[in-house]
Amino acid sequence: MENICDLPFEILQNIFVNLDLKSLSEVGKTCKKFYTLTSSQDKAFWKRMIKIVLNKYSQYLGFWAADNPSTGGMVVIKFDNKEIAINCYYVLPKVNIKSKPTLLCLWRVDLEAKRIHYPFRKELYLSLNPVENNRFIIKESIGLDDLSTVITGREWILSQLEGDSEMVYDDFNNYEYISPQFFQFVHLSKKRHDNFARMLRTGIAYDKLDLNEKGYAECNTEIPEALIKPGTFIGTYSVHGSEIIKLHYEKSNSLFTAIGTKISGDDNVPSGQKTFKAKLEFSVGYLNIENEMNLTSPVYTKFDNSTPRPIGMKFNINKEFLDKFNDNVSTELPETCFLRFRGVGQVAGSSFSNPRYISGEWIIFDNDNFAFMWPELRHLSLYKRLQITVD
Amino acid sequence: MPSIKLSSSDGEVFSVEVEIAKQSNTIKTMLEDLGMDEEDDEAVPLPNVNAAILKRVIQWCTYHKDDPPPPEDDENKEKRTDDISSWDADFLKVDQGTLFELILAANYLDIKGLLDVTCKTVANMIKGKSPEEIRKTFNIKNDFTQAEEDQVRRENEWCEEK
Repeated sequence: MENICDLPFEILQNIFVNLDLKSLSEVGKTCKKFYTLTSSQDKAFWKRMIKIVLNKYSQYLGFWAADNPSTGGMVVIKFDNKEIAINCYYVLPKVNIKSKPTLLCLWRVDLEAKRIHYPFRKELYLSLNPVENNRFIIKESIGLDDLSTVITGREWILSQLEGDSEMVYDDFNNYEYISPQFFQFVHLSKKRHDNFARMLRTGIAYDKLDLNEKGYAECNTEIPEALIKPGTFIGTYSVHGSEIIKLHYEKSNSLFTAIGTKISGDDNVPSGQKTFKAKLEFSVGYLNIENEMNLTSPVYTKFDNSTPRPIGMKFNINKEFLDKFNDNVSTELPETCFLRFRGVGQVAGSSFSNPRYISGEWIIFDNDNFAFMWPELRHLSLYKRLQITVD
Repeated sequence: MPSIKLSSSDGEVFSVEVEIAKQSNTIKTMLEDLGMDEEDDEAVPLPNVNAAILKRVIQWCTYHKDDPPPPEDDENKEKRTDDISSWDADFLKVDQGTLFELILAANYLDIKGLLDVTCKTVANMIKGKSPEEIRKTFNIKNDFTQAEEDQVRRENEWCEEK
């Protein structure tokens, strides 16, 4: 026995389970035999390997919200392609009710190699600091002088949007996409750049989101059958593009309230704030289309635990609500809905000044889609369930 | 001390204390199942292990005879490879051929401790090296075509979420 390649598969696997994922990937590149052995083709070996890796990173797996002033953001940590990676998704600024949401992976962190990969610039090493349970920090090692290398994402994103450029909001061209960690486009001004570079080095903290591996929110109280399951959704926010929200329910005195909380936010209503809430005491219906268009003379029906899910009611909407930012959605709007409730939505001035709630309507279309109507703003926000699974 | 005789593939016979030999689950099972008696003069044949390797295996088992039984492996726990004792490290300062023969012998004789420490030693020779360095260390022939090599490299590059 002179050469390692002559060892039987079983023995080589016994050796390889001692390796970290990075070394395993390197050894797979040396020759065909090792490639086969370390590739996912070998189910039994990978089952063993994945268990070891998942066990090591179990506390990281799942959904995390960026503790990032105003813009927020969400990352998902999952195992795929032979690595445990943090994937940061950017939701393209359009929600199509009939198709899956378009997600762009902006960066991924290979946890074993502690390296951050970008599709549009060279990879960087970073530090990942678990601070405590359910919170960690990612710091990029970048100096102020390196900042010019940071600012490059815009061209790449534009290229990904090709053919769909009308869905990019108007003033996109005045913005530069700065560090993907920040999930946002910012104005091209020197002051903000300096600010961001400083923040990059300080790091961004991520907090664990209470979602199961399928992206649904765990619910400690039994919610009525007729309601949509809690979880994360992406929604249209007019000029702000698409934002990620979490739908959850609160219960007091057997009365449910549906709450949408922003995971990603904007300059007006930042992340962490409620975007809408609806008390679910009475569902609402309309006698005729004219009433429905103007939201007048609502017919209230008592809603409680025993309410069955109604068969789809006709859904009509005042065309004025389909503003220029989502008028191409009109043809994609569902024709029926399950339930509608009166609720309130939060609006604010720039930098979350003078926040207030205005009345609106929460409309459940089906298991994965709902809307919030903002009559005062002449706007309809459409929400679609974000389906990213961790396992 | 009762002892038994072990016969290597090349016919050399070693006399070993039973307690030492029983670290090998294979030998232990043979003794129990086949009712081989300590008084028996017959040697246990080990057709897969030559004298040079068997001598080293006995040396390892002799040194480790008072070790507590190895803990049940937690299959899901990450394996540590930095916990090799200095005696074992010295013992395993051998050429690669001998090291591989020891692994095969430990596997055949079912000596968990020896199999673990030898496999870890090889893993440590792989860790932190580039593919080219690994090839050089183990004299592995690169049998990929250029196209295949490009393919393998691509698989490890950035992959976009679908």
